Amino acid sequence: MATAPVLHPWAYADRRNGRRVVGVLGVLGALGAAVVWLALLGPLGALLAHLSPSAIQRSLSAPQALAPLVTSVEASAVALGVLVAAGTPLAWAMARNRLPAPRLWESGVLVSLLMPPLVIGLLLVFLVGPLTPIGRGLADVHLSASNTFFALAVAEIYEAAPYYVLGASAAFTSVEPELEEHARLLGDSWWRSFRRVTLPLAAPGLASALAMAWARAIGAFGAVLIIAYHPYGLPMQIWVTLQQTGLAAALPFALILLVVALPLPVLAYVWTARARVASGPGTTVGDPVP
Amino acid sequence: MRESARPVPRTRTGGDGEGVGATRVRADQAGLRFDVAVDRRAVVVQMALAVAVGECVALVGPSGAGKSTVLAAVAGLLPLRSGSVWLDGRPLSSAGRRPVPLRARRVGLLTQRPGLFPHLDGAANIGYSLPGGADHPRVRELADVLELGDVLAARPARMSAGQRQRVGLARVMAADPRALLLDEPFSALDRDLRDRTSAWVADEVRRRQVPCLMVTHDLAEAQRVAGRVAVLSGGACLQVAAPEAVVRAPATRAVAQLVGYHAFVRAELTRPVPSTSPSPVPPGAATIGVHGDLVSLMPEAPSKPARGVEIIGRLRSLAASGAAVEAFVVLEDGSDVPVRLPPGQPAPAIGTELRLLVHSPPCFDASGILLHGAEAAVPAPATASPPRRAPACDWTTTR
Repeated sequence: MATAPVLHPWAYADRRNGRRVVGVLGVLGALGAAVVWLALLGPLGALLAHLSPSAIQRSLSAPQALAPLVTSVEASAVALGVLVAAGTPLAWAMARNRLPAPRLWESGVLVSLLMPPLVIGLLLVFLVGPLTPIGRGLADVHLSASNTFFALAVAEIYEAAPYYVLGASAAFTSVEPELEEHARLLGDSWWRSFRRVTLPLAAPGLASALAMAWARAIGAFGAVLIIAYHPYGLPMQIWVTLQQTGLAAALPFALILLVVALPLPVLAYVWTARARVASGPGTTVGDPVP
Repeated sequence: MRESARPVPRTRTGGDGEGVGATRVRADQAGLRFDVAVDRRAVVVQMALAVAVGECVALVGPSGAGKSTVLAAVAGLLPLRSGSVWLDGRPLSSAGRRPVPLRARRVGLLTQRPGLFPHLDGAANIGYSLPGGADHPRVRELADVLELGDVLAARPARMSAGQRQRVGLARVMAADPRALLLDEPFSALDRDLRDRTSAWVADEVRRRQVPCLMVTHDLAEAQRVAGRVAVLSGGACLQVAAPEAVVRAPATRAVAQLVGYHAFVRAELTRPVPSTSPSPVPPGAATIGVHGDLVSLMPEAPSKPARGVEIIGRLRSLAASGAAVEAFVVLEDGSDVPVRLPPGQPAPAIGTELRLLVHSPPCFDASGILLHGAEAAVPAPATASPPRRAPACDWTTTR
């Protein structure tokens, strides 16, 4: 049926007003965004401006200069592995309301997000330090959560966990449960529908949650400073170099940290954006006839 | 087309004890049988029905009546408050027991939003349940039948609403379900396509010998596809009958309103209602239902006595309807009845008093229950021409 759209005069006026307001807001918004963007990226510019190739070479040619990089990457990989294994089911259960008292679980994760990392470190000492029951239990299996690689991984897990769990939960929430039901009515087991429908649809969100967790883990400092001073990861190396040698010597390590921490998030972002374009939400209803 | 072997409907005897008294279908009988009560937004939706293999039953009713809820309950997506669902003699759900898991129910559900997988293209959606997925030959066959060749390589976001609906239908049919649950399956299709698709679905239901439960708000569509119509309103099933019976003999005034009776006119019964009626009423007050399709202008000089009830109304407006002209006539109760004017006659002036003939109207008692076999006449107002007494409701139906 080809009925002409009826435009009420008031509606038209409203729309024009709306457009004008959007115009002013648009300019203001763009200005504000530019200022914020420049301010956020300012430190990165400063870093690149103050690095000289000779300084990089001098810092990195010192014996054992790259050991912190290896330590950081290994510890972060372990932390992420633990997070994916333990955090994914929790995130899914939170997204699908499968937990009793869902608000309680959510606020628990939020509390760990809101706690200052230094406080997390202090509390971890009281939780897993050598004089605690858990610490003694760890000692029985020849582990120590104090100034060890294990301690570093634990501290990174605590700092990164809320980012991964909340991000992954949001990713699962974005997948409509009806789609899983359809998959199962079509003959899929729960696990098969999770693998064929839930996981592919949540994958972009999961990837960005993972990338965020990676950046948090590899840059973790507050909790690490307290329970895992040794072995040096990159953040600790930066701190120690800054204390002992000075700003100029610490900068190359900062660059390395950025180079290691950033690619995964950037890749995840690019992939998410592309996935969104490819299978975005239903565009327009369109004509009923092809 | 597929040629999958269908088991012969089983007719083993015994096992009547499980219980849906109202539907009187044995538990081990082939087909879909349910008697369910489901909590839905502060309303309890309650319905009992048996759908034979190869039969299609249409659920009609206003939005919010509980039609989609019934489908969801049968599909196993909602917990039952009480009752059970049986398919081919197998219990699928029973209140208080663990339902058969979704993957093992073999029930094909097409929801109003077809719920296509947005990360898969049309072919992969259709072939989701098939070994080999999009490459299975059945995908191509279904796509040809449903005219979906163009969208096999497109993601759902790039499809029109009608294409999505048909891809959803093809996906359900490809899974070879033992029962079909279709929620407004043709709502996004234009008329030609709707006719072809609904005819195909009706054929498939017969050919595959599966029970089919279809939600629609369009009675004409129900008449094309379904052998029986179940009228739902407010969570309750008001009547189950053949489409024609529902239209000609709605069980209550509420059903009459849902199937297109525009007005209800006070009338007087001309003889006592037969004693078979559940609530014998004295001759006197009753109402007759006026359906737009069952009313016409009273012929000026009838060649033979008209069968029906004469009512008086005032012409409010005229409107073109296709090639014909439709007159909107206001009745005594203030309701509008659309009346098709006979072709080739000059239209009467607005405000004219018109004599209308209501063909075989159903009569309802004061509480709105259909009076089977009743006859009524409308007392004429003092100013009008002398009343013409015509027998009405002289057809009888079985409930």
